Amino acid sequence: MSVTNETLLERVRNTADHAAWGEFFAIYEPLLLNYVRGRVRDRSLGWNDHDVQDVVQEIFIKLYRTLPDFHLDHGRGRFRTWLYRITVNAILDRVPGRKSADKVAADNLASDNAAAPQRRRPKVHDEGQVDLRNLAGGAGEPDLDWANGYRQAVLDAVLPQIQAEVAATNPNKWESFARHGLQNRPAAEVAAELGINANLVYQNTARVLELVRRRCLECYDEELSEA
Amino acid sequence: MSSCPAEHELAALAHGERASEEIESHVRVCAACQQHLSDVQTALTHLRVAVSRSHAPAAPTPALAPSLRPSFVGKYFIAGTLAEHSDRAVYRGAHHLLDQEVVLSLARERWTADVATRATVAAESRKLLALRHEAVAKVLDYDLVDDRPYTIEEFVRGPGLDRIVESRKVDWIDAVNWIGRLAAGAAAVRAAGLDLPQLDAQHARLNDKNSPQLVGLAEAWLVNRVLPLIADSNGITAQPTKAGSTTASSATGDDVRQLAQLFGELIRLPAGPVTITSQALETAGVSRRIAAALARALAPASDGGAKSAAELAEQLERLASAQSWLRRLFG
Repeated sequence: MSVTNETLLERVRNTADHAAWGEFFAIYEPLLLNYVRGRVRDRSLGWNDHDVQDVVQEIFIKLYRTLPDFHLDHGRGRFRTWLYRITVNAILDRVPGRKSADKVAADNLASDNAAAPQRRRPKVHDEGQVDLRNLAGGAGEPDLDWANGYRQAVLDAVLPQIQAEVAATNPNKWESFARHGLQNRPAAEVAAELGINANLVYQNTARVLELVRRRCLECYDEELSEA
Repeated sequence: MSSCPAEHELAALAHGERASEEIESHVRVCAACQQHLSDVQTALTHLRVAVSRSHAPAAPTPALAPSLRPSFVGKYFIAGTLAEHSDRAVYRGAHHLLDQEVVLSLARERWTADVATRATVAAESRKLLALRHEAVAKVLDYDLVDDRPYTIEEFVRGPGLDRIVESRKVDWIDAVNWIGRLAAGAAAVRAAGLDLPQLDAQHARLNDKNSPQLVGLAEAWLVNRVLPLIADSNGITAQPTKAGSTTASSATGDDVRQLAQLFGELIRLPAGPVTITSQALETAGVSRRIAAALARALAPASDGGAKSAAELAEQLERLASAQSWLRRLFG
């Protein structure tokens, strides 16, 4: 997986960048498949995996058509929120009779742990130009399942990248982070295992963590410090 | 300590370990450091959860796995897989210049040899591309990418008749109209000298005007015309295509039989290779005035039924008009 100065979200705006789209699929397709299936499960919609795949395909077609004009503006909303709304709208589009019972459908599909009340959502074909200011007030905010799934998808992509980069130049640095940062083992114990001092374990952990946080934010618009 | 400690100096506290008294005293009174510590701890918590989930045993219901597929084939964006076969893959896609979605059928084998035949096939594809009928999904392109032939057909967004058959019984008047239109589409394909896909519920979809369209013509052509040539060129014995997948409907009489069967599925006649009788139609709710004529149209040609899709289309259109006239007359 290549990492360039351009972020993935900038690269997929170029529809000719096939490699970027390959990475985009690798990261977001599992998230979308699992989220859509999770949302429709137990909601008595009677969907099968074919329906779930169909909705995810709809989402990717929309992304392909809208991302070239998409400008990330953190002041107005995050990418994960925008993608969440496209996903929920794609689900609603497939619910029979949703036009007459839009709000009901939205309530049914909202996660049980969603804190924000449902509000009027933009028309599906407006999504490419969706006004992200609408999201800033809390309406349409992703539910916890989405937030967790999104973070998981990003970290599943980022951690192997960072591991490969760091371990290639300084295996101890990665090992310090893995054992101390990820496995939460005492610095002194890790230091003894790696034959380095505890201060260096702290330094290594802090630096790799910073690298991970920066990569998540710059490439995938994911702020790892957010709850 | 006047200035804030470096990040690694806060690391011990972030991990719940003790730091020097000087650092701990500073953090107790420094809001910025407390915020920073909180951020680091949140990030670490997320990371640990993510890593534990990544290594967690598979859930009882396995996650839907994305299939391995290209993100583009030639100039076409690939949004997902519709079907996988041993000799071809069928994808749903889009093109940034086309205002419609497409179905892309891509041969798995490369076709490197036999340049002359490739050119002949490309020329033959023109009649496929030229075919226009409201009841047939348009074929938009035929080309090769990395020596692998592919076809492009418009994606009909509505539900397949297979899904409709699963979910409900179709009103018999709708069924007469739909089968009549599909028969007209099939007749147009035959008139162009092209093979048809199986005339079954999987190869018909309702478009946004609630009108049925035959789908899979491009794939059928790839399967029946191109893939055998590739197999031949590569010295491979072509495998017979499995029943239910896209194969040619070989004879015009067979078209009528398949359409009659599809009609029976739509109105939920008892399953089985039976001749459709007027009694069966009446039991399924067909008007007595129409049932006999409808049964005759859908009967095998040897029993006086339609001899071709074109003839069936004509007869069903007449019946639909008659029904409409009777309805106006008698309510």
